[in-house]
Amino acid sequence: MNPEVQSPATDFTRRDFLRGGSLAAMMTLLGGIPLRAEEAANPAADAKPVIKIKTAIIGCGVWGREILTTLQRLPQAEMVAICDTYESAAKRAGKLAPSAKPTADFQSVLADKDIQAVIVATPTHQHKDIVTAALKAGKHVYCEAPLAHTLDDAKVIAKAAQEAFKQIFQPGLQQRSDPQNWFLVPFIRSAPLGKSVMATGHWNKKTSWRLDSPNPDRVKEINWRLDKALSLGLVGEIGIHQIDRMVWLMGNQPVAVRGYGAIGFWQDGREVPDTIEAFFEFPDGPFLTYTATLASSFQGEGEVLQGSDASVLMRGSRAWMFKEVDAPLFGWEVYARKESIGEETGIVLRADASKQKVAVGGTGVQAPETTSLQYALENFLGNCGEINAAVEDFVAAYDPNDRKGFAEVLKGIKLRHAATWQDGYAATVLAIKANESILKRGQVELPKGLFELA
Amino acid sequence: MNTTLRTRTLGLFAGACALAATGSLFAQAVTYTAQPGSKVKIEGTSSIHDWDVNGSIIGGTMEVDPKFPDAGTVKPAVVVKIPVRTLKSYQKKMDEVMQETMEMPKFPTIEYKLTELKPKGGKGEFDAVGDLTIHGKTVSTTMPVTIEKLATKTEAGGAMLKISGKTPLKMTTFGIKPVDVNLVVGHITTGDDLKLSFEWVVGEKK
Repeated sequence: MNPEVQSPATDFTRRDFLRGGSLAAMMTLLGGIPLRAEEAANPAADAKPVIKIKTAIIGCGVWGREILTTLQRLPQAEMVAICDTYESAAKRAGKLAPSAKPTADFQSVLADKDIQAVIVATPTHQHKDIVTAALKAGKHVYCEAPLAHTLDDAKVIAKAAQEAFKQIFQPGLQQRSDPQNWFLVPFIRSAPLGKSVMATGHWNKKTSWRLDSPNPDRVKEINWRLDKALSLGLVGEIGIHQIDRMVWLMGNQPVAVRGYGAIGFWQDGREVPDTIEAFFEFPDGPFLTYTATLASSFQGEGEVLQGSDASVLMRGSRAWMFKEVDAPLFGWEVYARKESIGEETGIVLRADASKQKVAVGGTGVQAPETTSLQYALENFLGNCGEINAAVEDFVAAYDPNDRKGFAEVLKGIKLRHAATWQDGYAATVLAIKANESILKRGQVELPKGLFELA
Repeated sequence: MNTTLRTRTLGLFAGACALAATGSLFAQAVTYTAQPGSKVKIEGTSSIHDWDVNGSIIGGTMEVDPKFPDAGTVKPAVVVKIPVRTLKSYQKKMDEVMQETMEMPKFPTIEYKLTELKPKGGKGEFDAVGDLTIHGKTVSTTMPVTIEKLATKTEAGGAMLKISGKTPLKMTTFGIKPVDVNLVVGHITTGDDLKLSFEWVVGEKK
C-alpha cells in the first residue's frame, strides 16, 4: 500500500477516530490501537422506546433467565408469560418477570392472541416444533442459536421464517446486533490488515456442563448438551457466535472444515468432547482455527485476524489493532488511544447488569458496556414494533391479500441491526457440519449452495 | 295504480337505487383503489444539511368517469390518506423529532381531498385543486399533476393509473413550527420550506 495515497478507506477510519474524539497522549505505535464503535452508531440507542411488545419466553433454563434479566432493562418488553415444562424452572424465572403468567404449556402461550412476540430459549432440539408453531400462530419469534441440531430441522425453521414475511424472525446471533461489529466489519473489509492470512477464535472455561437435579427423570433431559444425539457440542452451542462473527468479518463462507475432539478432562461417561478444534478453509483467504475447552479458563474468549500489515484482536465488544513495523502509516494512528495488551492482566468487575468496568494493564480504562444480548433483544422488540406498524398501515391502505405487494412494501422497511433468518440458517448449517467433522475427526466438504435454502 | 304507471315508478325507483348504489353523480363511475408501488417524498432544508423523508403507503380511492383520463370532464372524487409514521428518513432521531413536531398521536395522517381537476394543455396534464390537511390544519392547494395509464394490470385484470405531482409547501402554513434541536451532528434548525412529491398508483376495482 502506498503511504502517499489517501485511499477512501483511510479517510473513513481517520474521520471516524477524529469524530470519536479519541485524542490521547502520544504513545508508541507498537501498542494496540483500540477500535471502538461510538454509542451513536447504534440506531437502537437513539430511539425512544415508546412501543411496548407483549412478549413471552419459552425455555427458562440458565440462558432463558439471562434473557429475562436483560429484558428487565428494556421498557419495550412487556412480559406476559413465561413457559417451561419444568415447574421449578418457570417459578424461578418468575422472580425475574413477576407480572408474567408462568405455564408449562407452550401451546397456550401461542394461542393467546395478546402475545405478539415469543422468545425461544429451550434446548436446541426442541426449537423446531415450537418455532414453527409460533410462526404459524402469527407471532414474532426470537430463536436462540443454533436454530436446530440437524440439517432437516434447520431447513424447516428457515422455510417457515421465509414464509412468515409479515413477522420478525430473529436468530439469537446477538453479535449481529452489536454496534461494535457494525463498525468493525467495514473497517476490516477496507483492508487495513493488508493480506489476511490467518484467523483464530477460542473459548476456554473450566466448567462441567453437567447439571444435576433432585428429580432423576429430569437429569437426562437437562443434560441434553452432553447427549451426542442432541447436542452440537462446544462448536455449535458456543462457537457458533464467534465463528459467525469471523465469517461475517471475512465476508466469505468456508469450503471445508476439519475437526478434532476429545474428552480430555471430564471423564464422567459423557460422549460429547470437552475439548475441540475445528479448522475452516476459505477460498483465497485466511484459514480460521477455532478451539474451545471446558477444562481450562486460561485466556477466556477472543478472536484474532492476522494480516501482513496489521492484526486485530477482539475480546467481546472490545478490539485492538496491532500494526507490523514495516506497515504503511495511515496518519491517524499517532492520535489514537492505545492500551498495552500483553499477558492477560485485566480484571473484570461487573458493577451492575448493564455496565462493565474494565481495567487493562493498570491504565484503569473504564468502559460502560451494553451486552450484545441486550442490543439483540432491544432491536428485536424495536423491529417487532416497526413491522406491526407497517402491517397495520398496509392493511389500511391496500388489499391485504396482495401478497406480492405486501412482501415488497415490507422488504423496503429498514430494520434495526439483527441477524436475519438467512444468517441463522447459514451459521447453523456450518455448526452442524463442524460438529460432524469433530466427531468423525476428519474433513467435511462444504459445497457451494450449502448455506442457502434451496 | 295501473300497470304502466307501476312499471314507470318501478323503473324510476330502480334507477334511483342504481344511482344511490354508485353514490356518485354519474351512472357508470369507475372506482380506483390504492395499490402498492406508490411513493411519497417530503424534502426540507436545515441549518446543517438538506433532508428528506420517504414513504410507500398512499391509501385512498378515486372515482372517475370510465373514459378518464383521456376524456370526461366530471369531477373525480378523490380521497387520499398517508400515515405520518410511514414517512421515514431512517435517521432515528430525526424521525422521532419529526413525529413529535407533527404531534403524530393527535394527527396520525396527512389527508387530501380533491375539489377540482382542471385539464391543461398536454395529454394527462392537469391542475389539481384540493384540500390538503397536515397537522390537523386544512389548506387549499393547487398543484400540477400528471396522470398516465400503466401497461400493467391489477390481479383481477383492472386498469392501473399513476398520478404524479409535486408542490412546494411551508411548515408554518400547517401550524408546524420549524424544528430546533440538538442532534449528534450538532444544533440543527429546519427551514420552513418543504417540497412534497408523490407517485400514486391506483388500480381499477373489479
